[in-house]
Amino acid sequence: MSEKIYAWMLKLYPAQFRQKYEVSAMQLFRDRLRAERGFSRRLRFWLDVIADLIVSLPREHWRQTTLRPSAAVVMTRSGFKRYITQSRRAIFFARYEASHAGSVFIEPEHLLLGILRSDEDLAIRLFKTKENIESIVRQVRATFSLRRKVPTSGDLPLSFECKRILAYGADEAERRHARHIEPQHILLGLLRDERSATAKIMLEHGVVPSFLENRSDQS
Amino acid sequence: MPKRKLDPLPSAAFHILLALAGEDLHGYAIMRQVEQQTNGRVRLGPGTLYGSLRSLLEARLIEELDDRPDEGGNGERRRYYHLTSAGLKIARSEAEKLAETLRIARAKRVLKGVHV
Repeated sequence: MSEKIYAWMLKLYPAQFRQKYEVSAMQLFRDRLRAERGFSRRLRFWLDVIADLIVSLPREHWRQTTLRPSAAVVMTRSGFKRYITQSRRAIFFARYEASHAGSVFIEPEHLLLGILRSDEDLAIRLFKTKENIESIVRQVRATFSLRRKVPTSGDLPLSFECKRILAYGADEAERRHARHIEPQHILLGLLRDERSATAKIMLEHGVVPSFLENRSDQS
Repeated sequence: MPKRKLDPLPSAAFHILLALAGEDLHGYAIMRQVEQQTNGRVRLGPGTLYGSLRSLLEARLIEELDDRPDEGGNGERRRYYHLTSAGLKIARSEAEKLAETLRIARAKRVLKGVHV
């Protein structure tokens, strides 16, 4: 019963928070519930939970509105003006992938899939054969759990991680004095966070920054 | 000089950095460690804990490690967090600020008893 009540309380948090932390928060709630025995400790526990909700709920909703511009909004800002067609198509396909996977945010994994679909020439150079590319796509898709498809007509925001990757991509272009942001700059951005699932998959397949840098210099 | 994110460092975030200074911990272990290091004064709820962890991750003061089974528990898979060198630096700087405040409080005889 307690878990059901808390699961309901969690639904009050923004979707992005729930997507990332719902399972962990539920796990933490169960752990504390197991540890807090007796009437007075249980009462204190529930007071803590309610106080936590009162404090953290407005903060998370505020973050949601201030830190999460949608792909559509970001694309109209000056940053996206520097994107070449393939990079813009990559965002478009990333949005499609996110929607298809039932994600409420565009994540770095969707971005990698978007790049593979938008720039076939680059994909072949990186992964050699179409079979390899299909295998990568399957591997990447396996990193996120499929949920009910989100309608493609609605607005879909970029996750914070995705925004950070795009900022890294812009930085990579900047460092090379490139006027335009190309898909390989975004890939270099993806590789900056070596612990991320997308970077690990790319590194496993031998896609290292030096290879992309060579390609970047040629363009 | 641009103002860095998490400046000033919220109390919950500072306690989390301190908890992670000794070892990598998962969410519940962080909550327990914070409770212990504050003599039960600070009990982080899930919303505050994960909200703070996200802010710290975004500021690159901590990083997520791969999920692994809980070492001291029932074998459930947990997401562990690790303090980065930037996080250690911020925690140290925050602790130094507090030490300075403590020194002033001592000098002005505001503090009584055996405060270290």
